Amino acid sequence: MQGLSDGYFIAPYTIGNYLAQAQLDPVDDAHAEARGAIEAVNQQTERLLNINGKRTVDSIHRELGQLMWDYCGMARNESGLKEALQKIPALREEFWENIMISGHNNETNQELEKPNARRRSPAR
Amino acid sequence: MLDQLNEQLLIQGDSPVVFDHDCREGICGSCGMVINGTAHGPRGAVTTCQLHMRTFSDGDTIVLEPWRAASFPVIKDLMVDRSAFDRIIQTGGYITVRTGSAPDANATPISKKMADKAMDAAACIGCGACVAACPNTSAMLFTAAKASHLALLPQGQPERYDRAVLMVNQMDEEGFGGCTNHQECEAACPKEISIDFIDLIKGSLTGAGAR
Repeated sequence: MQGLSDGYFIAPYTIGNYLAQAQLDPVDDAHAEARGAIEAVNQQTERLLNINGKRTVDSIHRELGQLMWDYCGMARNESGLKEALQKIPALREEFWENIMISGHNNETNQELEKPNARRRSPAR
Repeated sequence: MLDQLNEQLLIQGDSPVVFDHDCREGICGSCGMVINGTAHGPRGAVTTCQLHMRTFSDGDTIVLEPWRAASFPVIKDLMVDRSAFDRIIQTGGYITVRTGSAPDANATPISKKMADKAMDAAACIGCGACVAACPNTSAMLFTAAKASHLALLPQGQPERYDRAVLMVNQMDEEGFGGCTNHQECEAACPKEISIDFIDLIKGSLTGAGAR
């Protein structure tokens, strides 16, 4: 379970052994990788907040789920999969042009979390 | 229901209601709110996400509140900060294991009875309903469940007494109240954790004092 989904892993004993003995340099947010990650998140957040469209993130998510259900389930065929390949990129484009995210960047904002959670696996 | 409400609010241009949630299948412990005056609502042994709308009648008014406890500060709307629980776990929720190769699977025999009892304690999902239900906002059921699932197993013995002291001290430190046996926690617990585990941790505390 923890290995196949949810981004949750238990480190093997050898990793703990390594970490217990290794001398690692401290890492802070001045590190180039950290700065790059912060910059990428800021850019994406700004882009999402500035779309100001008409559809909620959930409605796009549900439409995508319906497409997967209809065309990409256990019972699927060539024509259905090809249709999904047409519809999914169109939906992705609509996402980036027509979603609405309420609120701001500097508060607890679950609407802003939703599009950012798309890289995560579902909790199962 | 809250998803529907939030969809409507967003379409109207209003702010959605913030509430914690994750698995939506009653196992993660993220969701939790006081529903019509009761932690996780009127049905027993369910989390908020598993309290289905068929529990209510058409036209009912449902009153939602965040967990009420000073140790769980409200972040926004129905979402509270339960990191006090994490800090309790950090003080004692570990065992000593040798690093290196994995231990042999059957090296430590554990009776079925003990394994079952430890699993009953380990069923705690850390949702915080016990605190919200307690008139003292005590976290004793949570702390007892977390300490007991280790205390019941041989692997948890080396730290058993120190663990009980450290975790209960941290519970006090976080501002949770003391346990005065109201048993509201057991009634509210979505995983039906027994208050017997509170006896067990009190036994460990007594044992620690006797050393």
